[in-house]
Amino acid sequence: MTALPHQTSMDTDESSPVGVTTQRSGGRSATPPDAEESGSGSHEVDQMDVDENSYWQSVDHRRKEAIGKSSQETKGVSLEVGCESGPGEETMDEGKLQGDEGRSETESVELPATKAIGKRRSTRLYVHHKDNLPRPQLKTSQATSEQSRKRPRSKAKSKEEVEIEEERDSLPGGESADNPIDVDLYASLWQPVGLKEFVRAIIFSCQRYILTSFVKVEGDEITFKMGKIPRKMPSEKPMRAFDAEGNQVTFTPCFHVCPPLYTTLMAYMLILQHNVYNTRVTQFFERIEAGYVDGKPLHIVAMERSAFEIVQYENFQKMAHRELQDLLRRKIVVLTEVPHDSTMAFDERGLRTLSPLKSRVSIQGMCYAGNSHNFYPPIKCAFRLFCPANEGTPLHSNCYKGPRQRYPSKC
Amino acid sequence: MWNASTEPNAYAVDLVAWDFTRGKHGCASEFPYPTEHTRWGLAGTANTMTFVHIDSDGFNTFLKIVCGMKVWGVYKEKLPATLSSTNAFLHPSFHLNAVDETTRFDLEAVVLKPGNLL
Repeated sequence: MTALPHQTSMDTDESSPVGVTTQRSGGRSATPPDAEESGSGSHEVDQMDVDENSYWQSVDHRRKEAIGKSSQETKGVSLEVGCESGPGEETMDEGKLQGDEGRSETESVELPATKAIGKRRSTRLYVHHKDNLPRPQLKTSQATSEQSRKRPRSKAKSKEEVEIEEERDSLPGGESADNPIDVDLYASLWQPVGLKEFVRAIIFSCQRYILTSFVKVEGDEITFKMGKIPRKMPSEKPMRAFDAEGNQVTFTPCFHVCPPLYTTLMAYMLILQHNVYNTRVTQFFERIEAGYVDGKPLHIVAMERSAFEIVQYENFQKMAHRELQDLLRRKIVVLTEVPHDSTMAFDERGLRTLSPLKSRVSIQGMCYAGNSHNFYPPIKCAFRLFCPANEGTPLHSNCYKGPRQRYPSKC
Repeated sequence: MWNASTEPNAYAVDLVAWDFTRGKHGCASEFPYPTEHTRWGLAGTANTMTFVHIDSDGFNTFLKIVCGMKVWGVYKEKLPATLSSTNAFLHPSFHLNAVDETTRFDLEAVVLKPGNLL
């Protein structure tokens, strides 16, 4: 759960439905893969209290229905472009289109029948930008365009907002009828988008004023500036825990709380944020220490009452299958003396054991504690990975874009 | 992890489940085991932390330390109770974002090092 201070950690975290223990379990049932991908369609599937066969039958039926409709189309399909989409990311939900023209924040365009990619019923398609690709000329629906032009503005836009809109419209697939989305220009959500293209798209958008203070772009190279590492604050008191052999480990965790912003208000927020993390971690270890017997954890002094069962690797190998499965029902097994490479370190060679260094990886973290709507998660989260210490050269890597709901709804 | 072990053993029921799933509608028999969804590597810097959570998809987890150290804590019910109870995670004192004294759960933790496999 926690990597100890002055220790970087690498591990292989692997999940498998290996029975159920009394300590942890999950309540989420497996969802058919098709339902996972289908966005709003998955809601329908979740409500179906049917067995597997009837589920797949319904999927087949929907597919045939969609194919039949597509073949009957002569002109094309209508796509809705919601203005909630952030730069470089749009949502197309064909299932919501019909009879929805009255919405004030939508534009409708007609695409040739060959563009019927999003034709599957109730399918929410998340797409990403591919920069520098030609944008096809598409005919717009005049009726809806005129309707939208006559729509009264709720308030006058500032100069900055106008600039932002112009920049946004200059990207392929903006949020107006004159600059429609072409689904062929986008990669699917499941295809990772390189950090380079991603950062460029953001820098060209309204976030540039913030991001350029963190990100440096030189030609094809994108790095994170070293002078902006978020501050860390140590916990108020050291924590202690014991390993499987009973050795005590004492450490003082530190928390990223805020980048070095400059106002008194932010300094006040910094202290509040630190208290939140400090309280949580302190509570966590206080509850752990409350269960100690004579200052030692249960897995050392009274293993029969402990959630953990410490087993030597050799003994584990000799256990009968039934004995092993019975043990796993009741306990969390911690093996010791497992053969391993003791020379492994947190370096290039060590990282290579986890993943090829040029592969795209997802990055998680909470190294920025400010308003989460100010930053795109992969950028702020990449910070920690790229700047693992206050010195050295930042690593170059790529990252996935996060789920849409984690992005700001407006620029 | 591309090189993670998928050798059948006495406890890897995920491999058994996959064996039964292959060949059914929507899952061709030649599909490879979805290693990328069940086995992955983590690299964390010092003080990296994940607060209390229920692990991925309700699966159980096994974890091997390559280098560094990691504290792994688990909730444990004070009184023996079955997880088949619908109230197992619905008690008002059960929190994932805080650990207060009213909780019905105890906490235990172990420091994992290279050579440990949880």
